[in-house]
Amino acid sequence: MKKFGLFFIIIVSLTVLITIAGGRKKKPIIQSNVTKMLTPLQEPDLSGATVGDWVIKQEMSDAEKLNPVVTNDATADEIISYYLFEKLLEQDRITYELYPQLAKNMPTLSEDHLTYTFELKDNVKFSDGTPLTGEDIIFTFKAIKNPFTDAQALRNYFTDLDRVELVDGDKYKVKFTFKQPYFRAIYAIGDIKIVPKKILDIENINDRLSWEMLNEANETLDPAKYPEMKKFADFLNQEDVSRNPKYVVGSGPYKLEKWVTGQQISVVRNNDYWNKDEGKVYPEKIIWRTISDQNAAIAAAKNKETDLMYVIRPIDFVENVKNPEQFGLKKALVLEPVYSYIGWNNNSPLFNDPKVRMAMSYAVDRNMIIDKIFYGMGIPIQSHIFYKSQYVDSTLPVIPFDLEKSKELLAEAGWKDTDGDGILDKVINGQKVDFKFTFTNNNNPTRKQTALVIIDALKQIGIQADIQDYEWSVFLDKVKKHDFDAAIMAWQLSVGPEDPYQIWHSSQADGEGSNHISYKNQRSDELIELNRITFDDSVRKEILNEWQEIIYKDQPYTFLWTPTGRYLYSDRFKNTRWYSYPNSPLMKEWWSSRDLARYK
Amino acid sequence: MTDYIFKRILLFFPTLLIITMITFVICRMAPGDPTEMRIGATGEAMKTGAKNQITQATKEYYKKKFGLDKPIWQQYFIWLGNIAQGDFGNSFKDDRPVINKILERIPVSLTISLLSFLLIYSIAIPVGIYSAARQYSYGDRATTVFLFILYSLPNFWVATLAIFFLCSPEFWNIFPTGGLTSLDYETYSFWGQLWDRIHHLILPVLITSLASFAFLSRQMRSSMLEVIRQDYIRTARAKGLNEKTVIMKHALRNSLIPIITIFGGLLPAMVGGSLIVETIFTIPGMGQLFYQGILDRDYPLIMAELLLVAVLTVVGVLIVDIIYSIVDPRITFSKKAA
Repeated sequence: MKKFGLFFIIIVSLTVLITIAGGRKKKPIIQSNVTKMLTPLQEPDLSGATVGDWVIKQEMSDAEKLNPVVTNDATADEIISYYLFEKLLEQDRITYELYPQLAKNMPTLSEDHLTYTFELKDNVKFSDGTPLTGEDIIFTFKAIKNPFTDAQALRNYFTDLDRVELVDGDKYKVKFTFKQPYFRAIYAIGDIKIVPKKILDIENINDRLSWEMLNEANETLDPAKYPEMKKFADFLNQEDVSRNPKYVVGSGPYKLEKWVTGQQISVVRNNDYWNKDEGKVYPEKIIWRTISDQNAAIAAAKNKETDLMYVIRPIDFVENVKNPEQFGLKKALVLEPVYSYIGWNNNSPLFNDPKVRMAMSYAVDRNMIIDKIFYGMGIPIQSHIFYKSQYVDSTLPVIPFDLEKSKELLAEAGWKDTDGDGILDKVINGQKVDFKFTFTNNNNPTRKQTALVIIDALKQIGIQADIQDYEWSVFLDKVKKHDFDAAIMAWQLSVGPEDPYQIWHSSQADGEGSNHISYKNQRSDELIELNRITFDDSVRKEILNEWQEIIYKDQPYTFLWTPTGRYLYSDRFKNTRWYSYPNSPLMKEWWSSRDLARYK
Repeated sequence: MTDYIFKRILLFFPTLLIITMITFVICRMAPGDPTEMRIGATGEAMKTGAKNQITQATKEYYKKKFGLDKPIWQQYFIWLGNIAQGDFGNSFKDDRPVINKILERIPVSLTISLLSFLLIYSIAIPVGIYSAARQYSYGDRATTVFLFILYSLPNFWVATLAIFFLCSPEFWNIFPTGGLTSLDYETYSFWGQLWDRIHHLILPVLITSLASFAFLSRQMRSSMLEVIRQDYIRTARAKGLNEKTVIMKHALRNSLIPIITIFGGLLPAMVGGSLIVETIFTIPGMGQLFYQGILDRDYPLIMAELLLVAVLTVVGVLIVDIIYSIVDPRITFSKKAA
């Protein structure tokens, strides 16, 4: 969706580019000292808080499905996770620690790290009044484990889940049994949104599906053998179950009111919410309104048609909304768990030497790029682990912009200009190779600008680089097939302890795994594997520290920066807290006083 | 005549078959992987860790579910068989039946297109007639220049400017920025609701129409000029009929033929929608659906839309041929005895 308004983006970015390429010394509007610009996390402000006013959030694209078992898109995930449904455990938005939500306490873990036993709160009710019990939890996990439901994305986390059952028939005590220990299993269980069995399994089909059958079906994948399993899956996969308020029922503080495809999704406050006293929520209604064009979205915010939006382009945030107070708006900048990097294809003869990759990292002027292209809104990073996480190795120094050092390293790696054509060369396998490569880009204008700045610096040390744009799905295809030299990309991270397996383990380097750059290092593999079965946090810190150092030395990526999340929001709200968390603002906390309320 | 129409309708099927075959193959040959897009890597940042650990098994699962594991020719015949039974398949993106997604959006695109065509025709044809009747007058030149300026303004630019200047408190805040209705639409009275809808439609309809004014009125002008030079018009004038009767009664009917040809292409355009206008004004119409379908490599959706457009084009051409014979009795499709 972000590709809409493309022409305008191109025009704007060309203007910016010309300014940069022209070398005019334009003073950056905001200095790169980003920590000073970040919106601080305020203390809760609840004095005089009143229930009522609505919050309207702009979204780039409509949600796809609102049933948490089968959904897999970002817009839906926000609505489902924080407003409609609840989970056994929730993650603290500040400390990133887990705490019980539907569970009474944290689960007890057996010594072999294979079983997790949860005790449930006994006063939880779905918004239709039915109590939430262990039956619903077992049902939810059976629906995920059912190989014919569209829960494939979630099912990946539970390939090792053997069974979920009540303990001694107690409806408020459930036990999860795994086949193998894995430290993130508790995060995976805790993150599942619980759906009501009574509404989604009218015929009680799932009572007849045993865990043995489910596990078997996952291996044979033969629907003819399990007609009932297939029948239930067909029901759950239906369009209506993911869209109709009759079926979209959770235990959360809001209820789905209405979904107008492509226009808006609205949820209303659940007045019978079981956790009214603790989980205080204020807006009577929250609406996600689709506005796919960024210019229109900003106009809508100025026009008071929306109350909250994420501004995609840095230039819009700074230039297009210069005086937010004029429109009753405020700006917020927060660090969210995302980072950009340049992936060097480690399989390429150009980049298979760590010295060369280090040299490339020295040739990237991070501060200048952050200042000029991101208006100072970003923070340089050195590691795969989220900047704010307690597991990040903050002792790793940022690699400075130093072309001399870069040249030195390249010479050490054997790259010299022997034929005097201005381009470095080296004899590889008996053949003289010039240092030429191409950045693969996905039509993203800021990444293109970044690449152009880097290309310019590389030229000065005798390297010729180009850039080639591709549409997103083609770009993705190329990256997955390792068909590129270098690409500027980004990862969205999880908060809390990271499992680098998916991206960094060498088993993921072949085929279409996420180790797109084919990075392979034996010690790194060992540490990653060890991390997966480590349940002691202080040990984990040591493991991850050592691992980060290895990655730093090898520089398979040039780590660039964590960009800031840029939000515009209405100044009539109080208790607008900005968390360094995915989906930073939590709109259900927001309130406005009676006299300022727009919707009463 | 009925014979002719019957034959034409029979010809539909092989035509459509060839169209769908070609589009099906082109669709599959384009780079990009629908399973990848389905899994959720649709944003600018790919996700890691707890949220999206994508395994090869996931991709295989979707490949099988979408039937992409079979050879292309088999996929085509399966698709064809389903279409014959009225089943357009489910969207790869969200598993909704494609037909529902399309039916939901057709009324929106149709409303905007119909209004915009009414607007275009009711302005462009009189302007074209006026220009032809008063060729090279100041009025003719002024409208020509003005229409050409309109013609050369790109849609997205005008739309962006319109939002900037007409929908923002910084300048004039006359129109809503987008959508089809206000958020509290349901609380309005009947007239309030009607006005709310119109209010939301004014800018999209106007901007959709801009470029077509010039095109259509120039067409009208030139075909009118051609007719005016004919002998029978000279005869009519020589008989002493007044200019108005000559133009409106004798010339108009014949000069409409090229306009009818254009009308034939309107049918697919009417349901096709406009990507740019729909995107900028957040109108959930067909253009947007189709474009997003292409980005997502949502084959069933793409094929259904292409089929729809193909059918409408073929039907449009047929309708045009029939109207021809009504407007101009000299055109006939049945063999006459010599």
